[in-house]
This record gives sequence, C-alpha cells and structure tokens, in this order.
Amino acid sequence: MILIGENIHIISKAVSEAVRNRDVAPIQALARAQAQAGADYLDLNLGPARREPQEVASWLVETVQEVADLPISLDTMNPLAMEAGLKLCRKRALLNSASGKSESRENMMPLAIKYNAQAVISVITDQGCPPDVDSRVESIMETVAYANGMGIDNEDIWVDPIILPVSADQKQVREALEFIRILPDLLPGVKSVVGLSNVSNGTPAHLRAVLNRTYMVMLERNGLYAAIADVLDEELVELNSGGLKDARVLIHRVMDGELVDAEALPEKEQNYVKTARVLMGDTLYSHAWLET
Amino acid sequence: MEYKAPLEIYTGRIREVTIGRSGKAIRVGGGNILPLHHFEGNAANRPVVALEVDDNGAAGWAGPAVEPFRDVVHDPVKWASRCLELGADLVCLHLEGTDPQGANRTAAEAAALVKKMVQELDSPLIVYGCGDDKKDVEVLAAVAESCKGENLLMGPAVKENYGAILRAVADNGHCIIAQTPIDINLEKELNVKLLKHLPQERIVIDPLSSALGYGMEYSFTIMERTRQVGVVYGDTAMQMPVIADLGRECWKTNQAKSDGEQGILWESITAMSLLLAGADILVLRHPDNCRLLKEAIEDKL
Repeated sequence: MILIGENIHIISKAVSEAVRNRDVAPIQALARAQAQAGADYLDLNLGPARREPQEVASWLVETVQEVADLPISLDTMNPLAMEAGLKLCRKRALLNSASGKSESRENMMPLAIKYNAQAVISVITDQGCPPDVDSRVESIMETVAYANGMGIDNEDIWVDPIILPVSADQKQVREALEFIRILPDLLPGVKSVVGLSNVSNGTPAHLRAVLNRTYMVMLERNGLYAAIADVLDEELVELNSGGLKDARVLIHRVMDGELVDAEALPEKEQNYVKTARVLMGDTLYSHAWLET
Repeated sequence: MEYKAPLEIYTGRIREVTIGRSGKAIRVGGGNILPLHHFEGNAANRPVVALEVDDNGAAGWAGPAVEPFRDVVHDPVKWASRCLELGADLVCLHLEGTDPQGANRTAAEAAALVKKMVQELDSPLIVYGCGDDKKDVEVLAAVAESCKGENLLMGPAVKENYGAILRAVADNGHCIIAQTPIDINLEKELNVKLLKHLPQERIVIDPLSSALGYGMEYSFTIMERTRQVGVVYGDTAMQMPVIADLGRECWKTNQAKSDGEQGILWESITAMSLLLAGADILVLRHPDNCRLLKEAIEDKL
C-alpha cells in the first residue's frame, strides 16, 4: 500500500511556527525523516492557509523538494495555495483534496487538469459527509462522473471515503471499511486513499497508534490503495511491508467473525485482537478498550 | 395450528445488585431481557421506585413537590420514613447540604445523619453526594466508614474521583454509583476501571437523567443502548443495573416551577419514559408518581 507521510501538518505547533518564521530546518528534517522511513509521498498540509496562501505554499513545496525526491500530496482547501504549490511540484503531484461540494467542483477540480495532477476526491458534498455506505456510493458516483466530464480520468482519481474517529462514531468505521471493499466494482480504475490517523482522533495520544495500525491492516485487506499516515510509526511501516504476520492474521480472523481467544495470546497480539473487535463494532468502544 | 410468537433469546444477563443489609435488602437487575419484555425471559427483579430526601430542608424545591412532606423537611429521618409510608420501595438521600457553594456541612455531620437514618429506616438507602467531586470524596468516605456493613448504594463516582470513592465503598461493604455525562463510551470506560476493583454485583450505572424537554431523549437512548449492549451483545462491562435520578431534573424545569400539576406530569412522563428505556431504580420526588410508577411496574395500568 502507498504511504503518504502526514507529519508536515499545519496543526503541529512545530510546523506552524516553522512556516510562520520561514524556518527551513524543522520542515526539512521532517521531510528527510519521512523519506527515510519509507514514505511514498509527502503530504504538505496547509489547512485553510488564510494568510499569504501563495507565498506559504510556494515556500513549503520548494523547501521540501530541496531535500526529498518524493512526489507531493498538497493538502489545502484554499485554491490559491493549491495552485501556487502545484505550479512548483517537480513530480506529478496529488491534489488533496477535491470533493462534491460546489466550490470544490468549481475551484479545485480544474487545477488538477491545469497542472496534470492526480486528485483526491472525497465523498463530501454540499450536504456534508454521507452517513452510510449507500449514501457514500451515491455521492461519489455523482462527483466522479462530474470529474470525468471535466476530463479527469478514473485512473487519476483517488477516492477518499472520509474516516471518522472511532471514539465519536463507532459505526462509521465499519461503513468506510465496507465502502473501500465495494469501490472497485462501482468505479473501475479509481484508486482509494484515507486519512488514517483520523480514526484515532479523540483517543488518548498513547493509545492512538494501535488503532491506526489495526485499521490500516483491515483497510488494506479490503483493497485500500493508499493511506495518509504516520510513517514515523515503525510498527505501522513494518505492518505495511508485510511484517508482523501473526498480528495481521489475527486481525483478518476477527474481520471474518471468528471467535479468537485473546486471553491465550501475548499482550501485543491481544491488543491487536481487541482493537480489531472494536473497529469491527463487535465490542463497544471506550478509551479503556485494551483493559478488558 | 396454534400460533407461537417467535422469541429472541439473549446471551447476556444483567447482574443482580443487592442494596441494604440482610433482612431489609432490595435486589435490582438480574434479568436477561430487554426492559419490561417479560415475555422474552426472566426479569429476576422488577424495577424499584425511590423517593428523594435531602439534608438541606428541601431548599430550592418546587412547592408542590414539598407539600406532602412540609412538616418533616427539616428532619430528614422523619422525611425518609414518610417516603416509605407513602409507598416508596427505598429512600434516596441527596447530601445537598454538604455543597461548598451552599450550606457546606462537614463530612462528619453528613456521616452522622446517614448513620442515624440507616439505623431507623426499614428500607435500604441510596446516598448521593452534592456533586462537587472533591467534597464528595471527603463526605462519601466518612459516610462509607460510619455505615460500614450497611451495604448502602452510594455515589456518584465520576471520572475525576472514582479512585478514592471506590476505596471507601470497597473497604466498607457498600455498592457504588458510576456516573458519566450521557456518553456511552465514557460510561463503559468508567465501568472498566471500577470492575478492576469491584464485582459487577456492587456497581449501578448512572448515565445521567434529563427531564422531558431538556434532553430526555439523550438519556433514553443511552439507557436503551446500555441494556442492549449488556443483554443482546453480552458486553460484561455493561451488565449492571441502571439508576435514573430524574425527580430533581424534572422539578427544576420552568414548567414544574410555574405549575404544580404540570410538575407532576413532567415527572411522571419522564419516569415512564426512562422506565421503558431500561432504568432499574427510579428516583422521584412526588408520592403520586411513586404510586403511578409502581402500578406501571406491576402491570396494573
């Protein structure tokens, strides 16, 4: 599975300070670290980029490209920042992201054509995030048809089902999983991508990694193509490159509805089983899900 | 051919919690059915109704809720006895008077009162602190100790103070009320923490009750889901009885304060609803509603 490094993110205090002061060192350190860890793309998340959108986007893209020879996933909802950044990308970039919202159709999608970028297209519409598989299908079919009409081919579209936190809406975790499974039948040729860490948003920080890792294995089994993820998490990268076979098999067994005897397992495997059960919706989530 | 209605059989069972010392104990929970689905299995114990007493002379109570107790509100022990005379299964004492923002009575005073009440009363006792999580630790620890072995149902234990309250309850042979703010995930988390030190048979869940028109549907949903998760899905961290401390919520609404008749209705509708949602213990203020709910529970309506 393709891993898109998420760590250059404006929500991070270190990143936002570096951007404000145009301090290249912290940004380049993050870029190098993620490249070394095995990232396939680097996500540059500028958020809404309200102040100096063009300057910030240009500076960030150049700064990262000086030290990392990886394609960029440019992540902002500001079309001005998006355009300024895409203009400078040396490798074929990923526009992250467009959606079914009318302003996105009008202002974001044309940029993918203009700069020959691939495009992340999410299931979000003017009505918000669709609540279940069927409505996600309905919205993405319509939005992708629109993008096709504009000249963006399925092969250049990375569909994002929108991952919601398990701590906020446990049911949605499984809806997204199911959506990924049926996507190739719906829209042959499209790729899929998720913002993986969102599944653990709201969960205490020291417990987030096991949720992210487990969900990645589950999504990958259902055919996910790419994840924007914490590539500095070594265990996550190891899982993605086929490691930790025992844990992967256990997660798959839980997905298949098998009754796995967690008690008999070493703690690490036990935690993967408990986490898979929570993500499948077999047990009710609480922050203490590993303690039962 | 005779028609036989299909029945759901569930794997989970709500644990039975015993409140009060032997001879005058009450048991709650214990069923393997959804609320009031007596046709599906074994209820073990029907829900019970408590009337509320406070240690602060009913300060702030709406008039119509005070009326049946007007002559005894300054003597909580007599007030509690009156509740039993009027049909309550048990009494729920709220230690409002210990609130640091109010009368700020000491832990020792509260402990002495509870001890006296539990000795004179022919029913088990539920004791709630004032809700200040620091003061409650002090007060509930003193109460737990002075009433050692009386098997009170006491709380609230909340995220911020459950450790200290748990120790006092566990060491002195009582049951604990686990309270969370209308959130099923936080509810389960607190249960998991408490279950490391206490068996399910000594825990009652308080998911917080809201009055009709003030978020009752949220409380309803959480209670309903709690029971489903425990009984239908067999989640052992969710198999404890539920307490709905709803009287106080109903009687502080503007509707209840402005019109006594309306207050009684407000409380009865909220109580009926939360009974259907799965509450095992209903805490009310008005004796008319106590009678009404008991009739409903005994299928006499």
